[in-house]
Amino acid sequence: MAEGKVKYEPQIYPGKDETSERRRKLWDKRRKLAKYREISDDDITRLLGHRAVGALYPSVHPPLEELIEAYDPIKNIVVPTPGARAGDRIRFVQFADSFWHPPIAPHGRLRLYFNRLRGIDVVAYSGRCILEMRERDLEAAMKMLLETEIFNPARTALKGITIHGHSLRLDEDGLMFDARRRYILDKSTREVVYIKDQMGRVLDNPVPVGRPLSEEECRKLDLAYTWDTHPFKSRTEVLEILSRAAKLRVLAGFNPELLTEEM
Amino acid sequence: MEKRKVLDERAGQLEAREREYVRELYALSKKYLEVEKERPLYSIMQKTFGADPFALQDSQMYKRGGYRQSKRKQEFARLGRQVAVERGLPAYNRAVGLPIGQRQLEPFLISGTNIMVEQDDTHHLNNVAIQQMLDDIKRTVIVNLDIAHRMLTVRAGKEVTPETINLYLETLQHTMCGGAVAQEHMSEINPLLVKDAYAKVITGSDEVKDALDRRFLIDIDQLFHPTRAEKLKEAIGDAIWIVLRIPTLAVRMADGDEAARWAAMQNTMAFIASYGLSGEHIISDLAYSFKHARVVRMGNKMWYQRMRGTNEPGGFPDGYICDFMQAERDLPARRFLEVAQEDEEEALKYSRAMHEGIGGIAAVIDNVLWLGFYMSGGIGFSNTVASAAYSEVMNEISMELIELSHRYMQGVRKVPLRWETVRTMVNSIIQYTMESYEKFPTLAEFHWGGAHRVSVIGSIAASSAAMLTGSSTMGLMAAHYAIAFAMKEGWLRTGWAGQEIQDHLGLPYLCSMRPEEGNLVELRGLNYPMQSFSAAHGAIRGAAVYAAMIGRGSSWCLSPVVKVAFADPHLIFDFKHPKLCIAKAGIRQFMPAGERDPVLPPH
Repeated sequence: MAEGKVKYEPQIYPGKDETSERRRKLWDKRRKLAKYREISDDDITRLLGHRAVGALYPSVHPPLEELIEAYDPIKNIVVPTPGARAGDRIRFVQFADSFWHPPIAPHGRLRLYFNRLRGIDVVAYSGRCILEMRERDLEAAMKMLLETEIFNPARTALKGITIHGHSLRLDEDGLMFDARRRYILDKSTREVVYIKDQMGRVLDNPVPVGRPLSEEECRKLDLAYTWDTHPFKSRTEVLEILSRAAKLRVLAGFNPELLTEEM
Repeated sequence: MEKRKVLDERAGQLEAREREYVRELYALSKKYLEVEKERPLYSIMQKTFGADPFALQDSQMYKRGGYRQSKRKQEFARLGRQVAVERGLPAYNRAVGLPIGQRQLEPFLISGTNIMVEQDDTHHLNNVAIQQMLDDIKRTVIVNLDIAHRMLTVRAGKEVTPETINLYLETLQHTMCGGAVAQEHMSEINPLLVKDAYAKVITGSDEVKDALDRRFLIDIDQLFHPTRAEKLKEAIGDAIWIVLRIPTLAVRMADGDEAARWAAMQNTMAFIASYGLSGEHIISDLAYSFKHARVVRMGNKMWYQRMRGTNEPGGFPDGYICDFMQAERDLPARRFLEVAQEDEEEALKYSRAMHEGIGGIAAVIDNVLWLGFYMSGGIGFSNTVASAAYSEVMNEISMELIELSHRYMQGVRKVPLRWETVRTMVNSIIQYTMESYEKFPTLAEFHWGGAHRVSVIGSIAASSAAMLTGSSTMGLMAAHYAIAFAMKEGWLRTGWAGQEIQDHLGLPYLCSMRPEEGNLVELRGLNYPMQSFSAAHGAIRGAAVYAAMIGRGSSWCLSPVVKVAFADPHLIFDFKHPKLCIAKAGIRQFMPAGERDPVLPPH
């Protein structure tokens, strides 16, 4: 390192409030996410619906060790994920995030995925975010996605298809709308139970995914700036940065030296 | 180290201040939540959902009987069975796919009317007014007659007088309806099939106007507020333009490009007949002038992959789309800021006019017709995005801009074209809109997709900045700031289908005037390269252009001739009241043109 050069510390996100702090936490891979519940590996496989429990991982190519490939320096630099090394199929999971005090939201997922996972393809929509990975890598990632603070069983949902409903009012049990009714509230255990997999195929046995977070917890974990948690209009630092980004991109074509007082 | 220490201390102070501010703000907001009940939005949502607009839970969800809660869906299910039986092949069938109607299928009120429609009524195949709006645009061509008149006098030695022009105009009505004038034994058309075909004159000269038969005139003085008429007439001058409208049926059979061909042929024949012309040198020059010289088509051709002829939606410039709009034409041509400073009620009229045009025309052309039909083959989602702009919500939210302008901008002569100045107002209005969604769960359910909210928030931002500054470019920048930065960062969600890239793609080119990168917003269009494409962006550009015109107190956006051409009362679709037409079609009370009944067996 050259003399006098400051060590790079990612700032992750601006803002002094709790929501900004949560954004910093979720998008910083050095920080651990709080674990809220336990879901077994087999239940995760059932929810995903890509293979039967106990079945082998189907592959689309032989293991990398068995392949003779043309020399490529990048392949020497990037360590393959276990799924890529084994030749797994690419599979997906899609989460829908409620509009009402969600512990994570689609673009929040996208940034979290990019920072915490490897070998991924992601698209964020208005209510959902799809994640594609090699099959065994995806199953491993699912532990974090279902068991930690970013999953609220009532307002986060696995929806591989028919994802509509994120900004609808909640149902009488406080669950996010699902036209395929993949999940219900078990009144006896007070836990949310999946009776269908993410594609809406009926499961042989229901899969419980934990109790809904309380309203207080929802508000505490809300990743969106909301009028009754941390109003967006008082996020001075965030708004300053957004405005500067807009100016740089729109008025200066990414050339900061072109910005003038008149702009 | 010293500097860092000072910064840390200041940061601590800032943090404390910010926290305190937030606490106060939240306490205040809660206190004033009751006041929100007085907003028109409260009653709109109450009427739409029949429930408490603030309620976060819907106790009737999943219990409304599925699709049967909607009369229209019931009708479709019955008709689908009927079609299946008649043709011996399954058709529309509610037994396949996902169950519809687990949520409330709420009807909605179209703004400016008392008409409630169901969502399906605004699908472009169900709604004949939407079809007629597009047909009326596609079948329009405007041609300058001065070149033809000069050629007649100089080269053919003919005299052009008021009498000859009136004779020509009468002949032209006949030829536009497919009548023969120079050759015997031609196939002609049943007049009932083409009763919507005609031609009318535009001029800015009182002298020329007085000499013409009034039946053939689009009278600027009658149709526009005197202050607007004065500006339009000055811009058009003593030139004579003929607006040719070919039959709806013709553009339905071919496409918009047919308009210029039909018009050129029939216009040439009318000249031949009324002036007694012959000879290749005259006829070919006439045909050239009617096909190419000073011919205004409503849209350009598109590139090969999206191949359509001229006069098709992807080629409409945004400036023309906003000149099709007529909602403001009875209002004095005054700058919006001036009006808002003086009188909030009066300013509301300008704002309502703006949303009538944006919601009834730009949102439909962009979302329903271009993206939802021409580009993606007719899925129903984009129709629901457009319907976000039909409702009263946009007018309601815009009242905030009027109130802010009236209260806080007294004495401001002109809002400078500086982002640093404009963004304060833009941020206020965006945050107000976002908070409306947060406070009214029913509104968030009403606009249930990100594209709906992108459309609303983008249009509100675009129109606010453009109305205050009179600049369409500033409007565009505000809109993209709203959806690609502010809305996305506040909620961590944007619109549909990877809008992450689509909102950002055009940002570096927003303010570029190089045609291959950006261009004046009025000259861009739905199919313009290097800009962000997605549902709602066309409505946003429309909002920027139309609101800028209203902000400047101008009388047209891009072409005074196009503006006047769409004021024509003979048009089937009323471009001054587009939402009323769409609403009437929703309850089956709008009669379009181009029907084939005169040549069909009795049915």
